Amino acid sequence: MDIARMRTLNPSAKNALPRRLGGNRNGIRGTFHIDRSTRHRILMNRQIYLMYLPAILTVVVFNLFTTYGLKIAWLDFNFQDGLNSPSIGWEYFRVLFGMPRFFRLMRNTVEITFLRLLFGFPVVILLALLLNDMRSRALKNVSQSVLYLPHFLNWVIIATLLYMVFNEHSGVLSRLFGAVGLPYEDITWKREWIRAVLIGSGIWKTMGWSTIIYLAALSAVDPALHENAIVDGAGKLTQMWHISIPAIFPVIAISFVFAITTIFMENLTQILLLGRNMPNVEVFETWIYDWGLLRGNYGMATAMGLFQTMFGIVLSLFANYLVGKIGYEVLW
Amino acid sequence: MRETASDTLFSIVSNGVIVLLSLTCIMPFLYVVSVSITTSQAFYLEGARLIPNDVTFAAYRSLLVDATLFRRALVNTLALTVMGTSATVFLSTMTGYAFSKRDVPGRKIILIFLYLSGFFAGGLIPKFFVLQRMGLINTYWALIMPTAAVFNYLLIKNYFIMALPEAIEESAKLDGASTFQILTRIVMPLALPIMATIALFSAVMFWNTYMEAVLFVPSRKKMVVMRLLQSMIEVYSGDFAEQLGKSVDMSEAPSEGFKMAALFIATVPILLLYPFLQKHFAKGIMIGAVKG
Repeated sequence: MDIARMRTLNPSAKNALPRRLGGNRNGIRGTFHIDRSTRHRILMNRQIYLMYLPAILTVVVFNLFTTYGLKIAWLDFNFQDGLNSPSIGWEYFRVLFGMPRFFRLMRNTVEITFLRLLFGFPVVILLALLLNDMRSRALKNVSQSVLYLPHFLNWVIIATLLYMVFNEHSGVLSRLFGAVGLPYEDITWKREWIRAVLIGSGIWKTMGWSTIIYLAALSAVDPALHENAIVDGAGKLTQMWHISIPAIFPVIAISFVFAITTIFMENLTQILLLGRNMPNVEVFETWIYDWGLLRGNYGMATAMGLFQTMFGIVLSLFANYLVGKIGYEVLW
Repeated sequence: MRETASDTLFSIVSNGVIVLLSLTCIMPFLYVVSVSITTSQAFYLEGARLIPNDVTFAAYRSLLVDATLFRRALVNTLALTVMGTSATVFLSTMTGYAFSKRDVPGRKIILIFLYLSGFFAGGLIPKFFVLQRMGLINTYWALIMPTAAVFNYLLIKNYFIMALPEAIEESAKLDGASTFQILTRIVMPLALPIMATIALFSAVMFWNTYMEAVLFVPSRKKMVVMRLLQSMIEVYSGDFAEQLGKSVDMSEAPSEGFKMAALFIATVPILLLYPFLQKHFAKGIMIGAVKG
C-alpha cells in the first residue's frame, strides 16, 4: 500500500497536532481548509447535495424573498417602482397602532384563539381516550373513519352544510323543531353566535383527525399496566387519569405549541365564509385581506402582517417556554 | 374479567357519545345526497328529508353533461391535484430521504436553515409579488411550487431513519448504483407507507384549494372546483345558467338540489381516495411521527 493511499485512509494521523496546542483537525496551525476525509465524504455525497437543492431553493424564494418583500411596510408602494418605491418610514405603523380598531383586532384574535384552544384541546383528548377505550373493533373502525370525514372537506363545503342544517326555511333542524312544535331560530348567521359557530365548526372539522396522533401514543401503552390496575381495583376513569393521560402528555405538549404557532393562519377562509363583515370576529388576517388584497393598500396590510407574524412568534415562544417549565422540550 | 357496574355504565356512555359524534359527521352527507336527488316538487312541498319521496337525477345530468364550466372546473382540479400530488410526493420524498442520510457534511446546518426559515414568511402580499415576478400568477405552479419540495419533509425524514434498513442500500451501492438510482429503484418502492401518507395529505390540500386559487389563479379559464362551488352557492335565486353554461336545464331539480349535487360531486373524489390509502397511511404516520 503506497503512502498516498494510506493518508487517504487516515489523513490526520501523520502530522496532527493535539487540539490544545492550536492544531485544527488537519494538523496545520492557523490555516483553514477542509481535511481530506471530509472532502472525500462531500464528494461521495454530491448527489445528496443535489437532492437538497429543490428544498433550499423553495425556502429561499418563498420564505426569504417574501421576507425581503416585507420592505413594502416601509414604502409608499406603487407597481411601477415595485420594491424601489419611495420610503415612507414608520408611517404605517404609526397609523396602525393609532387606530382604535387595532386593539379590537388584537383582542378578537387573542380571544378567538384562546377559546379555540380552550374548547378544542379537551374535546380531542377526550375523544381519543373514549375511542381508545372502545371494546368493539368494528364499531371503533367505523366511527374512526366517519369522524375523519370532515377533515377532508374544505370550508366552502362546510359552510354549505351548516346552511343546510341550520337555515330557517328548509333546514333540517328547523323541520325537527317544527315537528315537535318548538320555535326555531337560525343561529349560524347571527352576530351573537358567530364565535360559537366558528369554534364549534372548527372543532367538528378537526376533532376526529386530530385524535390520530394521540391514538398512536396510546397504542404504545403496555397493556399489562391496565391489567395490573384492574387487579388493583381501578375503574376506567382511574385508569384514564393515571395511565392514559400520562402516556399522551408529551403529545399534548407538542400539539399545544404547534397549535399556537399556526393558529392565526388557518382562520382566514373560515371567517371569510362564515362571518363576513361581523365586527366581533374581525381578526388580523381578515383585516389584511380586506385592506391589502381588496382595497390595494399593500403597505398598510404588509405592516399589519408583519406585526401579526411577530405577535405569533412571540406567542409560540411563550407557549414553548410554558411547556418547557413543566419539563418538556418542544422546539429546541 | 369481571366488570364493575360503574365501568359498564361508563362504556355505555362513552360508546353513546362516540356514536352521536359520528352521526353529526355522517348525517349532513346523507342529507346532501338526498336533497341532490329530490325533485323540485317534492322539495318545495316537504323540504329536506332523509329518504326522498320522489327521485330525479336531473341535477347530476345537467352538471356533468350540460354545465361546461362545472365540467371544466372538475377537469382542472383533477389536473392540478394529479400534477401537484405527483410533484409533491416525488420531491418531498427526495428531500426527506436526503436528510435521512447522516454521513453528509453540512446536513445539520442545512436542516436547521430550512426549519428556521419556515418561521419566516412575508404573508400573502409579498408572496403575491414574488409569484408575479416569477411569472407564475394564473398558472397552477403558483399553487404547487411553494410546498412541493418541503411538504412534511421532517415526517418523511424520520420515517426513513426509523424504517429503512441501511443494508439494502449498501448492497445496491456495491453494485455500482448511483444515489439517485437507489432512491428511485430501491428506496421509493420500499417507502410506500410514507409516500401514501404524503399523497393523501397533499391530494386533499390540492383538491380543496380555494383561497390560494382566488388570490393567485384568478383566471376564469383555470377555475378550480371549490371556487366554482362557492360562486354557485352564493347564487340564491338559482340562476345558474349564466354561471355554468347556457344549455343547463333547471326545471326538474330545485336549485338546492343543484348545489347539493355539485357539492357531492366535488367531495366524492377525495373521499374515494381515502380507503385506498388508509392501509398504508396509518403505518406511515405512526412511524414518521414517533420522533418529532
